[in-house]
Formats: sequence, structure tokens, C-alpha cells
Amino acid sequence: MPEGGTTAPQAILQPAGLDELARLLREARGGPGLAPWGAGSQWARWGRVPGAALDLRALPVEPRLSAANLTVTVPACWRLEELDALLAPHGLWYPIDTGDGGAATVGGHLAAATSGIRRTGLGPARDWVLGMRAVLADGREVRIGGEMIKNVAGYNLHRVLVGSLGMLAVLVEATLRIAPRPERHVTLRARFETPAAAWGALSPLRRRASTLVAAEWLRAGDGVEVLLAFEGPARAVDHQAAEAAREIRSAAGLAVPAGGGDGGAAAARGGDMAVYGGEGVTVVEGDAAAVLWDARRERLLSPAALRLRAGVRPSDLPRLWAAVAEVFAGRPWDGIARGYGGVVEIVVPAGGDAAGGDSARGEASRGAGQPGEAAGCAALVLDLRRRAEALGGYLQVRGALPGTVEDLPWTSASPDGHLHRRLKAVFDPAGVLAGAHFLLPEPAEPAAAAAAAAGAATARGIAGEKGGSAGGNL
Amino acid sequence: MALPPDRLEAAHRALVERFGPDRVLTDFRDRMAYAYDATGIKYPPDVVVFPLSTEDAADAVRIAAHHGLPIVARGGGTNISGGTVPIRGGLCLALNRMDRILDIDPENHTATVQPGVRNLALQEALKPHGFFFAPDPSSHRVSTIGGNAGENAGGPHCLKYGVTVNHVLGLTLVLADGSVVRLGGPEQDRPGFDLVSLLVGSEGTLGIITELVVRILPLPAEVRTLLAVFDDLEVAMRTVSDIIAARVVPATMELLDRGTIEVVERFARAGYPEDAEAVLLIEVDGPQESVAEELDRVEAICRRNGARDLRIAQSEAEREALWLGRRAAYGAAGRLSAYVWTQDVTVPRDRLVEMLRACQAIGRKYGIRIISVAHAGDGNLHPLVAYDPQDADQVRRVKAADREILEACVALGGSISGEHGIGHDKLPNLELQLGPDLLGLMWSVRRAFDPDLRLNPGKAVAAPSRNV
Repeated sequence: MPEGGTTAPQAILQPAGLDELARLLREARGGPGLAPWGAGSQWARWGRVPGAALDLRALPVEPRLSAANLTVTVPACWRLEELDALLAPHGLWYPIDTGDGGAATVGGHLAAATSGIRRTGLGPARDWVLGMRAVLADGREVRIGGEMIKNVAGYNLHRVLVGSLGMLAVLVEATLRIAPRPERHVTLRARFETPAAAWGALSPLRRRASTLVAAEWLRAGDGVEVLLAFEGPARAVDHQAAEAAREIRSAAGLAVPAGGGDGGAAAARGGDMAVYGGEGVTVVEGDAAAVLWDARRERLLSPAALRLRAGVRPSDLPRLWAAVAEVFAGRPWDGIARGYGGVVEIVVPAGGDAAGGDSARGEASRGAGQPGEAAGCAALVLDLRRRAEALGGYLQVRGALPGTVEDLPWTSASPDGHLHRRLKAVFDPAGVLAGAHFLLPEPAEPAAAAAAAAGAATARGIAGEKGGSAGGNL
Repeated sequence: MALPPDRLEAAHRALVERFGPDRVLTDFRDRMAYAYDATGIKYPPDVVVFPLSTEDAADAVRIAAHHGLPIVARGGGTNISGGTVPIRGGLCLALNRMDRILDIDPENHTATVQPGVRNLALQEALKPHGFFFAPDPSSHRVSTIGGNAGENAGGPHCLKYGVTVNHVLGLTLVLADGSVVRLGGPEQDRPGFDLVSLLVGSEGTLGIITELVVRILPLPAEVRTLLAVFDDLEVAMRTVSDIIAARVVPATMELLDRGTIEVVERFARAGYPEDAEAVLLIEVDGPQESVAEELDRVEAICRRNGARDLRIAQSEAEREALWLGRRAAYGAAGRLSAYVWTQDVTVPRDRLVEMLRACQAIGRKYGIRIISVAHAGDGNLHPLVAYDPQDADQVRRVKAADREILEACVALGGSISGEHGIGHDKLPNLELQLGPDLLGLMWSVRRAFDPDLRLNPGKAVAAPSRNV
């Protein structure tokens, strides 16, 4: 059964043990394909539902916490909030915030490689994965990696499974690195008149502020609001956040509210933090900070007719942002970007209005306000994809209501697409695990360098194979 | 199996025609320089070629493929698992002349380099920009970034900063058929499977890396170094755990056991007390506001656990002096006998004491002296065994001990290689850790990238012992 626009899979298989899971996988050969199913949060964003899902909640797997080793082994079906409840009493945490309040499962989070806001400071999710237990498409169980911090025995397959979209194996257990909860969290909020001004002000900060773990941009009319999170040892956080506030306050292009106030959200602490609050920069912590980050999350997860992700070299983010604004001019859209990562999530609302700020409001009547109105977005997506690729980046559809992008591929064909296909064929030659296959790039023509190399060699009379897109292993 | 002379001759001609005689070595004496690494085993390649570009490397691979030659990529040749030894002859792609730093991009925190750039050369180039490249294997003066990536190298600073795979963002790759692909890049979250992670650590068996985009990090504002001396090995290890539990993640926590201290002092005179059971070399780095506080915490924990002496470097010269003994450990061990076998195992951090004890017991069982250094914060142990390769009985005992060390490591939930790679040397033991199903899966991955098994044959991953 192909994916559709319904809200739940038509068939949900819930194995009670690994033997039954293996049997279900073997019996699924020749069928339409299965998809591991966790909380369904990613599928909800994609606007797709697998025809047949594997629900792993009945598998008997026990968590193992090793506080001395700073590792934890947990069932893939555990929600991240359950994991946090296990770790918090020990003063520990798994610091990846997947952006849905802990509702996602560990398995879903890893399969989708959701790295969250702290990717800036703490790296991608796969850097926090040490090992996995997985069941292959033919029913065999493998343990990859382990609880050791360093391991170079064989290929890094556990890292490959992170982000494998449920297409390579069924994750049943993961061993994760964990860390002490930070002593202090401080959030800075500021608004810039343009994305270029934001980059100009924030780029130098990153070099000095080792406790700066997150830097998110949110569309605010023609400009951007930025949220910066500082976490770590209290003295370092306080000092670096204060210094950052001081620098931002004097930056060109900072939008200072009338009267120089701090927007009313500040819960500035005493000492130097109070000094640098206000004048266009709000310094908050505790519940006030949580409010800001929750609001960001709600914007990211708001009902959408179309979700896009574009990525470029970080310093090209202002140009990418400008391209998005041009392409979606006159339509409602919201943008949430990883400021130092060069990745922007674009949300075209389903409900008529974008949270993206002032000038976006009122555009809904002309834009993609309802599913039907979103039809015809394919041309916009292609235009933006062309512009992102011209910057050396990419654009991927990350969610679309039926008819929104017609039959446009969600991901561009890629010169390394044949390697993805070969890997898929190794893990799952019978095509049992459909997963979120619509996100995997198709093979494209080989890179220009390959063609040049092939041409050079051929010119010298070498009867080699044609390089490149041999996706034929599938 | 030796290649037919006519095929070799044809390959030589094609390579000389393409690259000219100055960039192709065929003389036996020249080729012997590319026959070995730090393991001591020697197998000369049939021909050595020096590519200068991706296109060169691709052409060389295509020529080799056409004539059926195995292909081994080589950087600094510092590998200690036999990974760059051409055990089946063929073409050695000597990438050390591809040594250009193509771009340093402080704004995006990346550098783009050719694979033959030495690790130290990159560090020196980054320093004026206020950056560094985190992986720093002990071989960093000689080893290359391409080699670091091929082996997924570590180093003393992995505890805080991770290993090479955590710092490689993109690769240009020549595949076994000579085609070229680019994987990943400075853009985050590119669609598709994480092929960059697959390639890093694959020891040249899936493709030849000809360009790398790596993550660079701002130099820490402050670095403080401390040497703690202990009369009890287990107390030293407990101190490591206590430091982690106290929310301090040092950049480095290196441990030397008594045997290593004695050897180091005999040859390097670093000033470590020879009657100590262990020393810990601890380094904390970061912003000034927190480093002093972290150092205080580390010092307090060491004192609470009974460290009999604490030395805190007050200058760069004193820091270098404290590091002298640790850096001299391998060299000093090498002066004990004709060869030093350097083992590399990793266990969960809280099992490291058991692993150390197991090594000592195995050494006693086989009548060989095993001394150890450890990246203690990572649970990564390097038992060192000095031996005479001409002494057949000693070699037999060392091999038996080696196997038992690996078995003990696996029994403790560890890895038979933490940072040196599997190479040729550990290949027979790989199944101990992975089991036949996982090894079979890796073997299938290898064959998907290189169906003719032309790239670095006999290394990294083998066919499982039973058909799976």
C-alpha cells in the first residue's frame, strides 16, 4: 500500500518479540514495503503515512544506564521524554532537542536524524550514537558499535543507520552518549532588519562564545529575529552571554524597539546580565527562555501545506533567505533557520496565515492558504531549488499536502545517488523496508570531474568502464 | 598471487605514458620505501604513482583497474595495523604530494585540503587564523589528513572533541572504477544516507579520498595542564571517573602505568616518579571564565583520592615538559627491543581497570612484559610489548597473548581497535567482535563499492568465516 494522506497507517504490525519481528520481515518480501513507526511525528510533518507500519512498543527491551561511562542504552520505541525522565534524576541528559517536546521516539529521531537546535554547539545526532541493535530486512539481528567511546573495527554502519529513514534496518535499541545537564542556560533574543545584518553581527560571536549551543533565526517581516542559547558552566555562560549582548547591541542593522525596551519578556538576572538587557537585546533564562523556544517550535510545527528544507554554506544563509523571500513574494511563508548551519526550514501554512511576521500577514488570501490553494507550488519549489543549487546547496521537500508539488521529486537527483541505491540493495535487496523512500535522492549523471576524468583516460586509449551512475545493483 | 609479468609491464607503460617517469616508481629499491608501515611487515607494491590531483588519481585507478592491479592509497605510512602495506602488490597511490591546503574558511569554520596534507601542517596553517583541527593522533607530525580519515584516527584530545569522523564534512572520492563523486560538504543535512561516515574509517577499501572538507574549531582561550601521581592504579582510574562525574570534560586524560613510567624515565627523563603506580596527565581547556574553575575541581578530586603529587604547568614550557613523558612513551618502549607491538583496544570507560588487569595477567601467563598507556577518558588502552622478531618462541607467545588481549576486550564489551584500524594485522580477529552476520553485512557493503575487491585487498573487512 503506498503512502497516502491519511492520518494513520492502514495496517500496523506490533511484534511481541524479536523472533516475531524477524518473521514479519521475512513474510513481507514481495509486498508493498514496511515502515518502522514510532510516534509518527516525522510522518505527520511529511504529510505521508506508510501503508503498513511496524510498531515496536511491545518488544521487550530494558534500558541500561551507565552514569560512570556517560552512556545509556534504550529501546528505540522509547520517547525522548521517557529517556529524559530516566536521566534527569542523575543530573544527566541526552542533549538533542528534536523540536517536538520529547514526543518523538529514539528510533524515529535517529532514523530521521533530527539534530535539533543544539546542533550548532553539540554536533549532529549521529555524533551522539555509539551503537545500535537492529534487525535487518531478512530478519537477522545485528549489534553495531557498542558502549565504547572509540571504535574503528569495521565500517561506521551505526552512523549510516542514523538518517537512514527506516529504509536499511529496523532499529530496536540504541546506545547513546549522554552528558551532565548544563549548570546554566541563558537565551538572547534580538531582531535584525535584514538577514545579512544578522549574519554580520552573529558570525564573529561564534568564534569566541564556546558556550553558544544554538542560534536560530525566525522570520520577522523583512528581517529576522534571532534566538541564541548559551549553556554550560555558569560563569562562562554569564560572561559570554553578556559579552554577546554587548556586541549585538552595537551591531549595525539591529532593530531596536521604540524606547529601547526589551520587549517585555526579559527576566534579566542581577549583575552584568541586567546591564546588557534591553536596547534591542533581550536576555532571559528559565521559564521566560522556554517560552521563546516553545514559540519557535510551534512555528516550525504549525499546520503546513508545504514544508521545505534548504541548505547552503552557512555564510550564504542571507542570500538563500533572500532567495526564499523572492520566490515566495506575495505568499505567506515562515522561515526558521539554523543560523550557523546554513539550513532553513520553510513553512507554507495550511491555515491561511504564516507566523513569519508583519509583512507576511494579510498575504494569505493570495497564497497557499488552503490545501487546494497550495497547488501549483511545484514551480516555486523548482525555482527555489535552482537558486539553492546555484549557491552550492540543496532544497528538499519535507512535507506536502496532496497536489501541492504534483509529481515533483522531493529530493533532487544526485551524482552520488547510485551509491545510496547500492547501499539500500545491500541492506534490503528484497525491498522489504520502504521507509521514507521519497526522501532519498535518485541517481544523476556523474559529476563533471568524473566525466572529465573518464574523458581524459579514454583519450589515452584506456578501455575502462563508464564511470558514474551505475545504479544497476538495484 | 603475483601478477603476470606482461600485465604488469603493460600497466607500467600506461602509467609512465600518463604521468611521466618522474611520477612513477618501478625500481625495486624505490618501491621498498612504500612496502611497510609501523607494523614492520613488508610487501612492496609493483608500481608507485604520485598523483597531484583528483583527475590524476582517477586516471591511475582506471589504468590499474584496466590491467587488474590491486590499489593501495598511502599517505604518511604511519599506520600501525598494516593498513597501507600492499600485501598483494599492485599499485601504490602515494598521495603525499597532494599536499595543498586548498581553502581555510574561518567564517564557515571549515578547511578544504588535499589528502596528503600533514596533520601538523594543517594545524600550523590554522593557528594564525585562531583555529585548530581536533584529531591529533600521536603521528600528527607525519600522518596525513587523508590517512587520518581513512583510519578514523583519534588522539589524546578525543575525549572532548571526538575522532576524525566527527570532523569530516565532505569528501571527493575516486571509486574503484575510476569515477569521481563528491559526498557531503559544508552544507549541513544533505539528503541521503551518510556516506561520508561510511567512508571515514574504511581504510581505503571503498574509494580513494582525494579531497576533504573538514570542520575546524576555534582555539580555546585557555589551556591548563596537570600531572597527578598515584600509588594505586585503580585509584588513578577512579579519579578519571570522578572527574567525569563532577561535570568536567577535560580535553585530555592520559594514563601511564608503572611499567611505562619506568621505561620513559630511563630514556626520556621526563621527571615522572619511577616508583609511582600511575600518572594521569590531564588537560582542561575552554573559556578563561570556566577553565580555572574546572582545574580547581580536578585538583580537588585528585587530592581527595590521594594523589601524592600534583604538578600544574605555569607556562607553555612547563606544559611541554609534562607532556614529554607521554609523547616519549612509544619511542622509549621501542628502545627495549627490536620491535614494539602496539595494541589498541577500547572498553567502556568504567571497565578500563579490568582491561588493564587482564593485560597484566596475560603478560604474566606468557612470560612477556606488557606496559600500558591509555587515553583513559575514552577507555582506550594501548598495551605495548617489546619483542624480538627473530625469537620464534617469543613471537609465538606474543601472538598468543595478543589474541587473548583481544578476547578479553571483547568480553568486556569493547572494541578490538579504538583508533589504529583493523588493517591487515587485526583482520583475522575482527569476527571476534562483529560476529558473522555483521561482518557479512560489511563485506557486502565493500563488494557493492568495489565488486572486484581491487581497493586495498586484505584489509579492514573480510568475508565472514561462514556463509551468511
